[in-house]
Amino acid sequence: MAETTHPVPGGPGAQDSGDPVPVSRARLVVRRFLRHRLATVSLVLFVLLVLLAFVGGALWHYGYDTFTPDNSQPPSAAHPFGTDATGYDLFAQVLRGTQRSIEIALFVAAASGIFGSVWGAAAGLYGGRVDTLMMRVADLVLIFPAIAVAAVLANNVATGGQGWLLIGVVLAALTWPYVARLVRGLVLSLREREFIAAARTFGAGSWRIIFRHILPNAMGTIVVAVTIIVAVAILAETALSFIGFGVRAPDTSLGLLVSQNQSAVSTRPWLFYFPGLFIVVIALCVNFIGDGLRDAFDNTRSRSRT
Amino acid sequence: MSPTTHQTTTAEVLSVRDLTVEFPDERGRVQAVRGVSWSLREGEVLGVVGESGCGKSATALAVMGLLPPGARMGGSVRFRDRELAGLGDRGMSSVRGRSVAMVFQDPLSSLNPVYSVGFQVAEAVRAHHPGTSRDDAVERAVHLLELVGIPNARDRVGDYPHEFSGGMRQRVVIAIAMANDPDVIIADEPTTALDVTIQAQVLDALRTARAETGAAAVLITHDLGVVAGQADRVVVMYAGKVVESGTADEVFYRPRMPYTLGLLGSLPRLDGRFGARLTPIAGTPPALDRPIPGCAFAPRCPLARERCLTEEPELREVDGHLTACHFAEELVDKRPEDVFVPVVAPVALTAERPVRTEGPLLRATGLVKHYPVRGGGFFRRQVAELHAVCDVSFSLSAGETLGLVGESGSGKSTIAKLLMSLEEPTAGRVELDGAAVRGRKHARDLQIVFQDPMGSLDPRMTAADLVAEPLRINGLAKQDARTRALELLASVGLGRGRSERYPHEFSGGQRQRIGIARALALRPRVLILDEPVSALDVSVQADVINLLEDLQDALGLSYLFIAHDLSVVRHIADRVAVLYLGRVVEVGERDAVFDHPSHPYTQALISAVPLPDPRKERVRERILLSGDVPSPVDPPSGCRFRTRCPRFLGALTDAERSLCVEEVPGLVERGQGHPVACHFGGPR
Repeated sequence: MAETTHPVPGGPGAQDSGDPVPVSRARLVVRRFLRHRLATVSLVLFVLLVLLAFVGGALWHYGYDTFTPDNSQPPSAAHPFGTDATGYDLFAQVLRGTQRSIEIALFVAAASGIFGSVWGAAAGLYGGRVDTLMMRVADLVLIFPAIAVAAVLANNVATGGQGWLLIGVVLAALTWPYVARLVRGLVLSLREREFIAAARTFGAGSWRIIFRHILPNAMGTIVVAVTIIVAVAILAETALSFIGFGVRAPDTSLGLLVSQNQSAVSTRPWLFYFPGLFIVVIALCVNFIGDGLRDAFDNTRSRSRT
Repeated sequence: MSPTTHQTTTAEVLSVRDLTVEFPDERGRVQAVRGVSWSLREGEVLGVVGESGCGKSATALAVMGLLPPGARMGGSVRFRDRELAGLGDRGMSSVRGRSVAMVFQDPLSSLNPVYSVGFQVAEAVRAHHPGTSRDDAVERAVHLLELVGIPNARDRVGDYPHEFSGGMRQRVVIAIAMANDPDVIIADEPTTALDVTIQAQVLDALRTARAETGAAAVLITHDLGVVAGQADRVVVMYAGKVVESGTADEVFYRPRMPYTLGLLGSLPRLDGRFGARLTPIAGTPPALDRPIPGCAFAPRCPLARERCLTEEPELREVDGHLTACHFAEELVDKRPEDVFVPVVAPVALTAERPVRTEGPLLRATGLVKHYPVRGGGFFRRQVAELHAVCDVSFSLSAGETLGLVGESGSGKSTIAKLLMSLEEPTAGRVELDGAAVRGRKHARDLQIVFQDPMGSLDPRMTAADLVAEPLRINGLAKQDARTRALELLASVGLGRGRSERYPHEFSGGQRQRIGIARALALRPRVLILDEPVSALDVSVQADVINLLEDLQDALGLSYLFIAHDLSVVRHIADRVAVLYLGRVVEVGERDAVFDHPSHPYTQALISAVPLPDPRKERVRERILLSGDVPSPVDPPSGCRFRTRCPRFLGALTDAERSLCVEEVPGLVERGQGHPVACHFGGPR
């Protein structure tokens, strides 16, 4: 593996024997990702969190909307995260909230990542008037104060069990221009690179150039942008729920929990800190995973920072 | 002007003893300089030559105390009686500029873009003479700018660096270096980024600077020709060490280190020896991240034996000068080709397509390319036209190499793009075998090798994938494409286990081989080589040139060889076309053009190329062209060369001049046996 990461200037000592079996690109990406220790740890932690939230939530003997006879209990064996004044089990609520937050965040990241990339790549590739028009539309979206718009839209439509999906759509609709601008810039600079001209000289079509040459080279940046959006979406959902326009009771989210329990920081701190901790851990994990992915996609970067 | 020959009795101004420089690196520390000693005497020019990565620039930076943070330096640097090593930034400030001045390679980044050039020269004056009034300083700046040959210096002191061309900027940098009458000027690759006629101007300015200040100079360069013409003494560096040192004549005519001999042998020359095969040095310089027990050159040296691998050779005197080789005596009266046996490239490909055709294979007729120049406003209206290529015609026969020569802005690369259909011509047509080339229909027959081997290879693909890609696009199954790609890589000398590496893991020469293998994948008949060796070091360049020659012999390819380096073109081309500002000014058989140039531009171009031969350099007469290439947005009327033409500015009568101004000269044979586009073309 070392030979694919070290820039060996082909000098003496750079020979190895025979043609190695070609390793598929996906395999290489996985291998490089695993070498990024922090990212690997974060990925494991994130997967555990997701399992805990979705599987653990179903198995836990209290539901997020079950009243228990205990109220305002500090953490104990029966209630690991304690209970609130109404008697809800906070552990069950945090798991439910984590589900909601992760669902929204991943949805927003995927939707705005894909839409933004396509929009930006198209603008960059077509250039000229099309580019100007498309980017002005993106700018138009950017000038809306995201939280205010989200609050108004979510307030008007967010009802019933699918409310989280709507919040996701609204947040995605407000964040895609960031990805689009980034991808457009990348495409504009990549388009001028000589290897694109080289590909054209032997007859590569536009689609091949986009998927074979431009996207792999832009992947690192897109991945980082998308992971930032994951974190942003979690925080945005938190903020929306915090000001009362996000997920509604009896359903709950991490943001809503923090907001409901902010007044209890000094008297029953567990109510505030456990959901807060989950928010921080999820956001950090996602960012580190993004770092790892960027390095994994970029074979020109030798293993420098880990 | 010939270099002054000083006697060895003159005092030393600057001396370097056992200098070492280490840089931190991802993999530990790199020993960039491993014990270098040399001395510079009053008024002399010391040439420091070596390929990239040999430690020449690191030495210069260490002398100036400009090493980046993290770098470690050992040994001693003495300026007259003063020790400079360990002086610290503050102490060095009084030395820099005043005692030792430096000229860097890139004049754009060594000038501050937000200040006018006059201000920057004046600032240099005031830095060491704080008492100077602003007006006096500006006055001195004007004087200095005039000295280095900036036309209308007084009007231009207020201009900013971006308003000057590269050559003019480098002269400003030289003016700054002269500002405080230094005792030593260190010039680090001062002309590397410049065209050859501009290089001649800058070298001239550097000479003026030395004459004016009486300074001694250290001239650091990879170009043996530049050193031959400028230096009194020469130091050859390899892998962070001095491997040979002596007077220019001794080093050039009696090299006693195989590396020096190899460098001379791998250099294509404008005079003599062309046609002969170049003798490249195999391999690449060693990585300096671990100690090298023996001679650093041993792995590449044909003379190397057991002792060279274990015992480091010290610099010792052989035949009157210093060399670091255990077996230097064996080099007496040896020519490069006696020592470096030219490697026969492992070309195993066979031509599987008919190569013989009647008449020219590739023909370009009346090619014109204008680019719109757009304004900055919202609608980006077209405000002017850039005339990149103007009525260019040429033809290329099967198996032939046509050299397309020109300086930057001559339109050579645009022509390559037009031929490859990467750009639509404004007018004119390209025919291959009599049929018009349109779009990518002729992708298979016409392929290109780009100048920058790093930029033209997708960094995210392995060598095998890169070479296989054109085959895959043209419908070959994955496995077949791979087999063929490995075959192609092997044929350019990249076999055995390197196929799964990424471009950045190869050296420059190897990357260019990948580019060549990829261009050959579709079995083209014509290869367009757009400056294929100009980004490579001399020894590597020779290797690639030999490979191209072998491939041409084996496959019957036709080459359109685009280059600014006349020596390389003279070596490889059968016919030559000289371009100036988008027009062909002279075309003909190689030897006819080089031996009997008829166009004043061709004559100036040829005379400006430095030869790696000190004696010839001393007696050569240079035609110095004035000024810069005019902007292609508003090219001169009539003959485009007239604004710089020594004939137009000199001997012609007014009546003759008006012909140059009014009428575009056609390509006509004028008594020299080949066509030339000059109303008054002929021998000098």
